[in-house]
Amino acid sequence: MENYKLFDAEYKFACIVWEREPINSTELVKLCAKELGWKKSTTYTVLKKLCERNVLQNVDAMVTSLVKKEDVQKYESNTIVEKTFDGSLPKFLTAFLDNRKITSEEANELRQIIEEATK
Amino acid sequence: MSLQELFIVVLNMSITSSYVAIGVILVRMLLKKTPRIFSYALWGVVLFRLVCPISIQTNFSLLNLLNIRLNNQSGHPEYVPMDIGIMNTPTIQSGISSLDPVVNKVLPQATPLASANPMQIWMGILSVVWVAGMVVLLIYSVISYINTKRNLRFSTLVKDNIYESDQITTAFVCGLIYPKIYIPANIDQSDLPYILSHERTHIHRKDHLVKFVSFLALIPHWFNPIMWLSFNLMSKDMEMSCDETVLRSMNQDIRRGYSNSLLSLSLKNRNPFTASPLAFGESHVKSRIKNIVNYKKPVFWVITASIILVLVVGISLISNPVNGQPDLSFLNPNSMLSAIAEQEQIIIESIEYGESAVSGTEFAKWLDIAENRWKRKRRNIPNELTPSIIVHVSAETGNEIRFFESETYVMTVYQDEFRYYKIPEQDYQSIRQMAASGIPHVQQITVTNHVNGQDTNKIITEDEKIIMRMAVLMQQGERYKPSLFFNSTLNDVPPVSDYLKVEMNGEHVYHRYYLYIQDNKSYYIDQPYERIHKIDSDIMKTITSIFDNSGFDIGKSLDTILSSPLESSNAQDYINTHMDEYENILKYGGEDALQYMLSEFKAGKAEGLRGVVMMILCKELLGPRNNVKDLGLSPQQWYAALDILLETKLPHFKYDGDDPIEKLVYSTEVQQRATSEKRGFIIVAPKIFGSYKEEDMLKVFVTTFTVRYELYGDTLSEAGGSIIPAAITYQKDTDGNFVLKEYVQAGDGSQFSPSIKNFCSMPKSKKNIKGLADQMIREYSNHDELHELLIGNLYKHLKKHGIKKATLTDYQGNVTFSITDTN
Repeated sequence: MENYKLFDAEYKFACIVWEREPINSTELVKLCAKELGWKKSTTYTVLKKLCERNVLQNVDAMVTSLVKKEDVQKYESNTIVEKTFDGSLPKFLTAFLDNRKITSEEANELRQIIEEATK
Repeated sequence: MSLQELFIVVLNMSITSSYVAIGVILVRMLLKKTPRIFSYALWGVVLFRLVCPISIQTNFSLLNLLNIRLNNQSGHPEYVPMDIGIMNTPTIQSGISSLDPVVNKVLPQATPLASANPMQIWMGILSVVWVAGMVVLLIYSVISYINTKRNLRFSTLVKDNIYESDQITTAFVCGLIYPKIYIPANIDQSDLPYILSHERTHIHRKDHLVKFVSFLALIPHWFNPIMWLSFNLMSKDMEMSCDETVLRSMNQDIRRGYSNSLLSLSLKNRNPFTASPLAFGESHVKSRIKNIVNYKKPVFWVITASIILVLVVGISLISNPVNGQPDLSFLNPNSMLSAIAEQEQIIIESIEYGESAVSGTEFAKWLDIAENRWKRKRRNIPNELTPSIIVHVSAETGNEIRFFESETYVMTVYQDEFRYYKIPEQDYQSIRQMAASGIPHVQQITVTNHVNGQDTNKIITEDEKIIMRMAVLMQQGERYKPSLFFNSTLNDVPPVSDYLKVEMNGEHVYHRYYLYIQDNKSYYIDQPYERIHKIDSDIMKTITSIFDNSGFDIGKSLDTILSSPLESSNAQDYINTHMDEYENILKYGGEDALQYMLSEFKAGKAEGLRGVVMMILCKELLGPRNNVKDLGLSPQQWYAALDILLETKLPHFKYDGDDPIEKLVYSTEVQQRATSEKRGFIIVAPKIFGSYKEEDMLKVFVTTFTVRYELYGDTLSEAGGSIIPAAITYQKDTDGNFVLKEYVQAGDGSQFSPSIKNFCSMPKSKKNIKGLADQMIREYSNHDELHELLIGNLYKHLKKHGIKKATLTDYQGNVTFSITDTN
């Protein structure tokens, strides 16, 4: 089962395949470019990865699924958060939040502040 | 520009930026209640300071509050001087006066003998560290950017330029030209509008570009923590002002929803790389939420006031102080002209001639013409040369023109500023001449009347008016230069027995002039070795009349010596306290003072301390003439025993040998040394290095040891002497005898060797004689041979004139020569 847990991007990609399979890989690249904003190389990279994990298969430029949509789960974003790279985001990017953790006390305090100020 | 110089430039910019940043931080506190956009805008000033090499100078720069030195080329503040590595005593000027001594104390001094100064080495190391830091920071940033891009590869399009990814927990903008908004996948639909409008506002306001440029600007200043703090605060202000823009753009009050989104998103943020070491103060989230919930639409007058404040602070922080407008113009010789012409006298200080004064108009006239030939030369660092001539244009401002012997540049100085001009060699020579001919800057004049071979009376004056008048008179007359070496005075005295000696003393000068009449009709002012001026009888009269009413008073001088210290009863203490006065009596009182004191003894008016002091003075003035050797006598006892020895007069030395050349040389040398001095006799010891005949000319090269001896009783004493190399040229007269044609002696000091090299030539063809000069110079330092010859001649001379007993002792009392009758 472990194998059938997919990242968000992989899941979205697989969804496209499930919807249209069997699908020509060239067609798939075009679709991905339109719907996911992917480059050709990105599409092939993800395709290759999912083929290796036996979620999809690519035979003679025809892509089909090996696993049913019902059997696949998305990773909960919280569980994989440790793998994120926010901590090393370049300093020169305008990020919505800086990467400092706030404690639960701070969070409670802030919640209170918000409550009081916007009553 | 070398790496080190670049580092110093950046270092100076960094320090300026720090002051500016501190100013911004302080003003930012005032702006706390106003829209954040104003604080955000103020950081622009710091950014400008970090990157902009252009200096804008205004009178109301806030940096005026600090004690700052500006670079005179760039106009930028210069805390660390560009040449710190090669300064003898490295000094910085941080702008905070109390800090400087502390820092400067730890800076290593230059080590003049080593090939590199410790400071130079340190600056070298630091600049390499600086570059290394930049490289590390750049590489780190590039790697983290590539990393980010790689991880965002699989982000998926939401719409427009918005992408989502489950690899991130916070939203951000990435990309400079086509910026994309990345949001975390699975974000709450309720949070999304807030986050998106926040990021869109960033893009709209070009914040992503500002942040990128700021970070680039930060890289060279990586060593400056204040810059990191500024970067962080700037980011915070940027976010807050962005938040405010979002709040303002919405029609309804979204403070609650917006701040809750912010909170919930930051709670998701559970990544392990939390506390960044470069984050300061409370977290951005906390202050942002506070800022959001307290947000009110700003009132008009607050905005107006804030705009004015930001503009004023902005301009005053963005600009450098004006470096005193007149400064630079006064470095221009042309602008000095009027100031120079206004002054009565300009002081020219030279290594060769000391301080002399020329009239302001005269110097201005010269400068006006010369200055056209001078070419401005850019130099950032002043040279380390000692100027050989300094023209003091203005004492108050330190406005000077400096000339250098070893290079044809002048350096104009005004306060701490300087400028270089390349000048033609001729201008150096003419300023040198001006220094030589200027009126000496003297504090005291001593005039000695020399009559019939004796110094008769001396007059000292410190009266400024008299000095000035005298100095001017000494410049009078027409330059007269009869074959300088032959006819000019030798042994520093004029060729006549009656003259006035005028000595001008100043802190840096000693000039001596002789005034005399020759052939009953010509009057001369003669400055030894320099020049002879021929003056008319009116000037001569004026000069002599100046001193008619003043004079040296031995009685007064004695009173001065005895005036203190009253608690002592030891005469020597009184003398030591008034050494100058004591020397004056010896120097200027002379025979007159001696006669006065002896008459006091005779009259029995030499009691107590006064008597002791007079006795000491008399003994010193008498010298070998004092026959009383017992040191234990009281003044009156001493006087009773005193029988002033009369001098045994002897003629000057005469050569008895057969060598015709030696005969010539001996007679010439005695002639040359013989002066109008009546006392004593001259013994010469010439060592002949060679004699060269060409047609009717004969040139002899000789180094002569000459001593004037005086004989009192059986006590012989030396009254001055010299060892001088010379070239003597003779020419045959009609009778076939050689007569003296020219006598050239070696110059003093630095002129010594060149003058010998110069005169070592053939008598007629003037061809250089190989090796002769070197030999004369080499053997000059060895006096033994000459001394032996001198003593031999002295012995012969005394014997010949029937002196049976004579003893010469040195100043320590050792007998150095004696003759006793053995017959």
